[in-house]
Amino acid sequence: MDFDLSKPQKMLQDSVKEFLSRHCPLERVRELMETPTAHDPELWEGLTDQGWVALTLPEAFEGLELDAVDLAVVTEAMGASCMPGPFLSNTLGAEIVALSGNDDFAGEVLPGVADGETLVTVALLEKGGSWDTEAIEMSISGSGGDLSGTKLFVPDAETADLLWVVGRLDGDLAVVSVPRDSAGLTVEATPAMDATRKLYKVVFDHVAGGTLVARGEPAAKALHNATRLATVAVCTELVGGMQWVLDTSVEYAKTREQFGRVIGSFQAVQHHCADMLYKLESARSAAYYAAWAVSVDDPGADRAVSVAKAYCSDAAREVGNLGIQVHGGIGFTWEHDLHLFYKRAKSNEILFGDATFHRDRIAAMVID
Amino acid sequence: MDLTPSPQEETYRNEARAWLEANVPELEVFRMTSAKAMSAVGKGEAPRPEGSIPKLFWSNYNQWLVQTAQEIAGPCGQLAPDEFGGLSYHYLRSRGNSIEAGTNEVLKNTVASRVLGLSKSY
Repeated sequence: MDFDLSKPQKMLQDSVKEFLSRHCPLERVRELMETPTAHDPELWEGLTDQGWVALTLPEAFEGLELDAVDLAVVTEAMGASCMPGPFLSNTLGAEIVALSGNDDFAGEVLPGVADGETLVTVALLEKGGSWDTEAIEMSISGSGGDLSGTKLFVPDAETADLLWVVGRLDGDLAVVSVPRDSAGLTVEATPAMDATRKLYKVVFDHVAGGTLVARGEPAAKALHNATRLATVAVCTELVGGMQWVLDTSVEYAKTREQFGRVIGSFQAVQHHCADMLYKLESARSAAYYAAWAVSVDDPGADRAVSVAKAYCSDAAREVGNLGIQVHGGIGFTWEHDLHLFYKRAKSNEILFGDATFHRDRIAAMVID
Repeated sequence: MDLTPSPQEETYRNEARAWLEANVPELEVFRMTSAKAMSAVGKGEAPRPEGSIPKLFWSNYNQWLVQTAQEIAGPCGQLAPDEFGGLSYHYLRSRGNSIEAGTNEVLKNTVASRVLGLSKSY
């Protein structure tokens, strides 16, 4: 068995890292997080030119048709750069359509997504805040032609051109595409801790002119599989972020002096660093196993993804806690970049279900 | 802001219950440990090295308390520090607890060498 990345994957990893170090350094992250949308059209154009925006989309829709492991490689590097903007929400949205079986609609919108002209996002969560699609209540009537209700925590709704609204059509789960500038649709910012990825409340008041993307079993399956892929992307983003926190903390421990010696010579600090490393490496193994399982549609893929998300969500928070502790007072300041990664880890912890949510799913798969 | 925290799942309700069950005794024990440390100072005695113990207790307790509260809040846990009753503010602020007024590491070294008599280390 070979657990290493392939040669093309290593090349992809190098090029994403190199690209982000030039186009998205942390000074740029700080600039973007102060903007209303944290979206950088120039950065997006660069990502589009490289093909990474349509990495996993089928070639028939102008994508590169690469798999979940390739996406994991890209998102790990994005996590290590705390890259702002709509990459994840756009990837999830595009995948839902690609997997929906509605090739007419996919052919209509996905080439635009692939060339960076169209941005999409998914409006899923409702008042209860549950990531389980069973909890979706929003009513769709007139085959998508009449939408009313409220969606919460919708990522990047302000930058998206099209929103996929998940609701119920005569009781069936359904996905409807709605242009963001539709009459009766209002987007209101939800101030969040992680300012690098913006969240919104979207209110629909008899919004007409939606297009039905999928309903019933095909809609449920597309949502499930696209979310599974996006969850892998979040896990590897967390891994990238943890790597940054570990590297930065170890570097600091080697240079910062206290009581006349570097703090990295103190056993308590060394143990914190070792704890960070073992959590990071465990998280990496879980995340990449899940990526592989999704890439081959392994029968155990759902479980692997839930294991990875449960582990990575907790590990990233704990690595963040230890990173701040190793830094001491400086790690608690606005000026130090640690808090960018700490807050991103929090939003990623919640995205697509936290550890409690996924442990519950694992229990249901294993016991029930 | 019109947001309802209400994570409806049974799992979260169970977690909230377990949290409360654990929280009450923890808080009571902290109250007693602190009262004991304060009584020595109240009698005009100098604070002793074991005074570090309530500080260690409190740092860990408060970080656990706020983190668990935030987990129970579900997606609302990620809101900005001035939203949702300041929950995120307390979450972020609590990371300073194990650093301010003596880091956990320095306090544990103090307790180990000055209370337990183990050899001094860093």
